[in-house]
Amino acid sequence: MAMLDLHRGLRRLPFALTILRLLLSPLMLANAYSRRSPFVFIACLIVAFCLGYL
Amino acid sequence: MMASSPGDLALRQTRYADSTVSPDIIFYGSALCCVWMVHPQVIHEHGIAFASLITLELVGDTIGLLKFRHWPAVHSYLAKLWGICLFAVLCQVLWKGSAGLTLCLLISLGFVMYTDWIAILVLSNTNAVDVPSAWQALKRRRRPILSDFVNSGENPTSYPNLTIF
Repeated sequence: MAMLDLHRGLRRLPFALTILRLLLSPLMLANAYSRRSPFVFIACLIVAFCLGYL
Repeated sequence: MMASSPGDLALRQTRYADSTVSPDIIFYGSALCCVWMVHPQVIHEHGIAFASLITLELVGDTIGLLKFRHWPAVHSYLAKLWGICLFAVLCQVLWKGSAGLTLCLLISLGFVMYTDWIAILVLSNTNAVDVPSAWQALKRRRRPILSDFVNSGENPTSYPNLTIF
């Protein structure tokens, strides 16, 4: 039963990662609009890149 | 209900959902908006090239939707290489405000990648999911494999030249 739950959880993981990746877009736009910190841009790009290849 | 194997994680629905929601298009579109807001001179210098690449993206999406009634989920090798280069060049542009030759190389690679992508969509008989290159699509067109039907949801028994591996 625990294994079944684990499988169900893992099957939802790609969708969770997709949602997380979508949330990075408004964060980048907000940073471009206000602070314009290159560190935030680079951090968002690295996280999105890693999530995309997961 | 039987538990699926770990190999089933990359399910057909998951692959489609990844392409239907298009998080890559939304994310890299917003990254392009960021470049336009922070360093507008980069967009002004290469505006025609960016517009051409966006047009090619729309053409590929339209072909996929019209031919297969699905968003394309090709995931070719060139698209993965383009993704790595896009990440590197975007980092450089957002950090320094210019990319020069690397941006020109990225745009050139983008044209090659989109040509390959559209060729895959045109050559594929079934819905093109996880096709490595146009050459592979041409081979599968001549001799389809079982995974093409698993991805497309079509009935494989109607194809006499089917290879099962």
